[in-house]
Amino acid sequence: MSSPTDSNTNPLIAFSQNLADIVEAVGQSLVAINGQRFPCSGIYWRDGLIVASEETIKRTEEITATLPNGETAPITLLGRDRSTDIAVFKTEASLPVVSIDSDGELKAGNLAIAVGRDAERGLFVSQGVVSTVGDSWRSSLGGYIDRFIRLDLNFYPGSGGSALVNAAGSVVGFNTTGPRRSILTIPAATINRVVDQLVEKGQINRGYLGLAMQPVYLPEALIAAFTLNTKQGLMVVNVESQAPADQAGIMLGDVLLKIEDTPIARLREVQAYLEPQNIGKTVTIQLIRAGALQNISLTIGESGRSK
Amino acid sequence: MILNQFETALAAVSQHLRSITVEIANYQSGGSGVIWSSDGLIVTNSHVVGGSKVQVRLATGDVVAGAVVARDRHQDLALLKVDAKHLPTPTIGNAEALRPGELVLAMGNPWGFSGALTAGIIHSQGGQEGINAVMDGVRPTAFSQSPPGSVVVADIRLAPGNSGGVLANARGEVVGINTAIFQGLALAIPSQQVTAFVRTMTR
Repeated sequence: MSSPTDSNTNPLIAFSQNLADIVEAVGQSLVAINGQRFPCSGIYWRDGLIVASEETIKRTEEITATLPNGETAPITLLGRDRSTDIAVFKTEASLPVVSIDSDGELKAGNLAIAVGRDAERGLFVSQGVVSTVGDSWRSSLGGYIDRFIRLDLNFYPGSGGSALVNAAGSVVGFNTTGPRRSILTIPAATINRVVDQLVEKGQINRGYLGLAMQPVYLPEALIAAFTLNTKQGLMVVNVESQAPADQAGIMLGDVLLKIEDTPIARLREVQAYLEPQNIGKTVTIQLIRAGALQNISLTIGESGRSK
Repeated sequence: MILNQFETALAAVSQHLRSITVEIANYQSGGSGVIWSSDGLIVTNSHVVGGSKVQVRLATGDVVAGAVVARDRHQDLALLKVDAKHLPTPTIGNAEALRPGELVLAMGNPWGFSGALTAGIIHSQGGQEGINAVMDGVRPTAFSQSPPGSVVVADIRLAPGNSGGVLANARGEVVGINTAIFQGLALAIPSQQVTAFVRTMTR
């Protein structure tokens, strides 16, 4: 054709080559995780450690990974945390540790490059843009995710756990599916923190109460009588026997209003209080029981423990 | 500004691709074709041309009568001849050299919109094993006649009407003929297979 084809001057060719180079380089640290219901990818995050999307891991016994050179290597689950969607595997295989950018300035509009590995197709990639970058958020299970990252790109079947790569060629997180077919990225900062914890303990225990609760609106009369500054509370619909809440004397039908000074109108506000560092802490819970305001002292338990 | 330069270069390639793309009219959803020689050979998908005679609209707007001179349903390729001279011709690229992540551009008539450009990237290596994996369980649609042999797999938005149209690399060289969509991925017959087909049929 007639237009210039010099890669030094034609930005289309430069873009194309640069992108293919980035994919190839990152691909050296990506594996396909075998034996799952749907194919999924893993990232060689640290020496001997592979990070994957927890929700894609259905089987954990005797599984293997397909490496960049086509060989398969056994991998063993080191730990998993559903609340942040992070699973960590151990492997004897040695690959280059992926280049990670955990504090880069990601912005809406940045190029989003999703690279993964499939056992049969090999390296695969789709490209789009970062559509939203927001503050930290909590997953439905209360996991703390350092940044909200949503992508606008084609997420083909088997893309779970694929690396999100920036234009500089560094991995900024891995990709997973969110509510309503959205494509979210678990940021590298979250992965680093959770990997540290999983390497140390094998699991992440969160605070535990042993309560099932339902948000309810408070009667106007009660709000007026106690001059409450909140309109909602959480009504206890189940108390697990011998669990911390039971031991503290919380009863079916209690309407919880506050933990310490924090109003709890929604379940996520309770979840937020159950961070690992609050395990063992004794807190005051304000509640309404039989039309009267009452304070109860409760010691936060630990999830994953036999009660 | 790099985006500005990018846009200028993209427009130049787009213009070239539009000049070598034809619209094939006598098919329900419409289809596309690629001019292969200046004296009127045009390549398209076999599934785009039903009969032996077709109406071909050139990028110039001229509508010319075309005849199907060769067809291979298995490869899903057809060769047309129109009565024209001095047509613009493509540069044929090397589909075998494509790497995942490389920029690709498609020109065609999706949903009947003439001369529409879409941009994307190469998704994965389309080796023989790759095809088996990708094509497994594919349901035949108006736009999917599975090409045998290797295939170019691209992360690019195509629609019915792109069939038979060009898939080009960043240099504007033809690397494939867009043929099918599978799970949102574009599948194209690689350029070397098309070249071999044309050579065999014109020998």
